[in-house]
Amino acid sequence: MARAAAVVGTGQTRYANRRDDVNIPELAREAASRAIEDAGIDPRDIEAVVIGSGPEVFEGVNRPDLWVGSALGQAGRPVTRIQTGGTSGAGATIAAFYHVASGLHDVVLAVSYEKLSDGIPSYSFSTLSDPFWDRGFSSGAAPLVGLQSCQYLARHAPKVREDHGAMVAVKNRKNAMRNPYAQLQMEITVDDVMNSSPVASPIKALDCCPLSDGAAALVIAEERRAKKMASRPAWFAGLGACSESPYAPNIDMAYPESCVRAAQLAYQMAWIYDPVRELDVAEIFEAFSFQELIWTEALGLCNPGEGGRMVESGVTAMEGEFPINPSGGVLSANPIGASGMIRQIEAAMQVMGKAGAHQLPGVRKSLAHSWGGVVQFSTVTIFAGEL
Amino acid sequence: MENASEEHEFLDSEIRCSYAWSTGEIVGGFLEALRDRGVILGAECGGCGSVFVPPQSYCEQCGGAMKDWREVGPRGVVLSWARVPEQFEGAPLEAPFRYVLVRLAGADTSMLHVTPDDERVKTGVTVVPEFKERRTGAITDIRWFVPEEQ
Repeated sequence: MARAAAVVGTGQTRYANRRDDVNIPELAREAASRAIEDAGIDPRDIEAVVIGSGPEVFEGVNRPDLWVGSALGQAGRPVTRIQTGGTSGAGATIAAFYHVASGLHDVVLAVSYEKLSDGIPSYSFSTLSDPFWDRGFSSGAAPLVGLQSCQYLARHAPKVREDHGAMVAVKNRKNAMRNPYAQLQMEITVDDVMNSSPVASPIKALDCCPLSDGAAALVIAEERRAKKMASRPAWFAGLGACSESPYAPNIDMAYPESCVRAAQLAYQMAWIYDPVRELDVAEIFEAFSFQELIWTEALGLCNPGEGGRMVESGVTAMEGEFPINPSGGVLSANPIGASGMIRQIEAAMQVMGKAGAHQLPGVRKSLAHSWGGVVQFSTVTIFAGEL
Repeated sequence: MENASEEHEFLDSEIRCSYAWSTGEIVGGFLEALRDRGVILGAECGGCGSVFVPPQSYCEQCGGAMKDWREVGPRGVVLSWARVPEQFEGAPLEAPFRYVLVRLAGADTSMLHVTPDDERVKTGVTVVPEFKERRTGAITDIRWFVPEEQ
């Protein structure tokens, strides 16, 4: 890494099915102002902005970065937009980190948002597919993840079962009750999940993330400024990003190479040899419950086939030895373009000691993960409390 | 603003746009074979020998150029499936139906397609394609895959 950089302030909006009270730039500005305030700086201290959001078709505005950038008070600054599916928010943070680590800028703002309610999500999703092979099938997220989950369960049966997915949903929806920003907060049982209406087998209604409007932002600073801005900055210790085939059937969705590789790159950079021992918490992108089992394995937090055991034994519960998604995860709120950044914000807040009611004790290192596209993009970010 | 109405304002709009994507020779060759001959072709990579179905103009594994066509299938094996019980906007078929990942005989890659909601459609089952009568040169010229009769 060129030079040290850390997250020094974060901001989120309350995630909701609809935010009819604000337009898109105002939504983004809400999160950005909170991050700037949390960092204790003036908006004029920001030297560059990176914006992440979903594909333009979601909100129907092409080149939204120009519109949103000016609402953030950043006219006159360099503005860059990142769009990599569900990893957009995380990619925006990583790009902002590069701005600072490279030495070009000392203080950079990264903002991400989604306002799905402004459009028709089911129609938009159908346009994301490859025009030749996938467009005719308009499969969208749930059927794709249904195919992914079916492949995963078939491979590891009987060690991993359908109700392990339900256990993830129960855990995360309950964790969300301690997160004031979460959209869905509920105490449910495994039976509630198993009996919820089928969407695309094995996925059922309570295995799914909601549709959300929301925004998130963070401020990254170089070492000297970071130490003044935050009592406990979240230092970027490791980063990994990887992509693979744009055609889902060519990906081993039950153990995607891009996820395995992104994790390896991040662990190498952070000098981590035994992730589940050396990390204290992980925020991973489970848009559907079974994905938490799959990513836990692909991230090397357990061996392939052990995802079920991890959740069933309570290891990944809030009080367990290795909590996963204490924020409630993506199952509790999914403003798509922002969700990857929200995982990073939650992981950073754990290290900074700012996670409030869902703060875990003694967090020294945390991991944030995201996936995007047809499962072909993956990012892994590792934060540390010490340089 | 303090006296702002509880009712929110919206500005309605619509985008209507049509496209005609150039397919290139390789993708175009595959689609023509579906339309004109009712056969499924795989493209063999000149570099690593992998047979891609559907084809790509470039090999995503080794970067090589596609060298030859190979007729694949018609039989294939279901590698994964997902049953959709309820209709959704833009669905390819009337629900209930199933999505499948199929590995055709002779292919090194799988393809996404659909089957009717047949209880026999499960991982490991052999399926065969049914072609539409009227074909236009699209992946949907294959109407669906069905379990092979024993």
